Amino acid sequence: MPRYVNYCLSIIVTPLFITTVLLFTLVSVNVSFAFTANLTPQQSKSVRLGQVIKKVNLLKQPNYQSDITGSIAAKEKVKIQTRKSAWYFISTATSPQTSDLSGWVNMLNVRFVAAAKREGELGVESLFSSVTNDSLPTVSTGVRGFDVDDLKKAKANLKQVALLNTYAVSAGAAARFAKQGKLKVSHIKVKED
Amino acid sequence: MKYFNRLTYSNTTNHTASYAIFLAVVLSCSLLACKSTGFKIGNLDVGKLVEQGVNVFNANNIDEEQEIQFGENMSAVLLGTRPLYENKDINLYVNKVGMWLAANSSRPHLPWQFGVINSTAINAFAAPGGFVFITSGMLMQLENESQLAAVLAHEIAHITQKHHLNAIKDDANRSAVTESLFISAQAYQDNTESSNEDKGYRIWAKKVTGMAQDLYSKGLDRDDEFQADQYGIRLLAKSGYDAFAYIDNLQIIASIAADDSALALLYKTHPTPSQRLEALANQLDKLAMNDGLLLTKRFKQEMN
Repeated sequence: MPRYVNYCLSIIVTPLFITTVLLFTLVSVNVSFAFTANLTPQQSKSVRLGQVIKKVNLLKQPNYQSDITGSIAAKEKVKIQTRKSAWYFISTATSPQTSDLSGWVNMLNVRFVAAAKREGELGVESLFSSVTNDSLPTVSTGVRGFDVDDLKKAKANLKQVALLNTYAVSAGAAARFAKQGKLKVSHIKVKED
Repeated sequence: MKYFNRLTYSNTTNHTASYAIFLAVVLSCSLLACKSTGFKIGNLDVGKLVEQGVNVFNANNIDEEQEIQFGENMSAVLLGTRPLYENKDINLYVNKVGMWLAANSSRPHLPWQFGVINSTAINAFAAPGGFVFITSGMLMQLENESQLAAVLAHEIAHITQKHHLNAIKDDANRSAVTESLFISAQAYQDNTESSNEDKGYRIWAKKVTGMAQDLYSKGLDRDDEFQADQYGIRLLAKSGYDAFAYIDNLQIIASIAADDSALALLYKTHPTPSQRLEALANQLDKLAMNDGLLLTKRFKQEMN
């Protein structure tokens, strides 16, 4: 191979190599930063599994004046597709065999099905084991927890209070922030007024 | 401070002695009319302290300044349990959402402060005078700004309705209510000439942590929890948010395994989510016309 070809190749390859290394470094730094700063939920919760708490009518529109398109028996499992105001749009298609019913129901007639314990919690049960429960839990340990025992061990931390104080924002800044989000005061009667 | 101590310990010079007599006269005068005179040494209202030391503490007489100091002391213990989440931007974001709600509440003028506590527990706390906390564990369960606002609105309602002061009026708590709770560590040290390492400071810290443990372990009156839900959902609607996000939150909590340790303290101190959902049911019709915002996009941007 003529020497100048070799020379040309090295001119092309070296910057490519450096760029790749640089990019890789940047990406890995970015990724590790994301790990420390990210509070986003890990799994998507767009469609949830629920259970109706009593026999409910399925409505064509999200209001009580709407036509009834069907009904669902108490305790039947449903998929919650979306919410509009106080109404969930649900479907009963939990398996291919089931006939496909869907419609609007008042959100208070539905409970999310209790999920398995989250990662890091022991005793993983079947994924959709039981509907919401009213029983009080007994286990009280947790990593970086905030429990009665943790409170008992606590000492007053005045430095953290001082830090908290530096995060406070003015009412004016909050109003500007609300305006950016197009939040408007709604004239709903607040009981305490 | 110094003169206060000399009054009890020494009369080394005539000058000091006459000053001490003078002070004693002033002090006894203020004791007779301590409610109105507000005799103060530094930040410390001696008139009030003497009265509170003598009488059973009357929670109805706590003024706003004391309420705020009490809340700051309680916050010091909450933040001593777990510190703030390190990310400044997330703390600022929570402050903006919280301050917007607080500005629409019945007590907008309080020195409102909001913080994210770095803990895997799913919970939120309030302390008197405008201190509101949400755990990072709770924040991770949420999907939009309206849900965050719902959590904060519940805590804001506890503060506007003075639910913590209500809780310390209970017989069980009353004996633990002492003047230490209503003054800062600094004021206590200045007036007892103790330092951070001294016994005096330890007495202050012991009283403060004891009360905080009591308040946050036992929780508030269950009726006050229901009231905070009722006022909270309305404050959410009033502030332009989708009020039904409040219901979403309770649904989400209800859907987490009940024996999940992250929920232990929340369950210990609150009615169950199902009970709270039922209690809110009759509120929903009144809010049915509300077309508030969720602000999902802004929330996700801020959390990343």
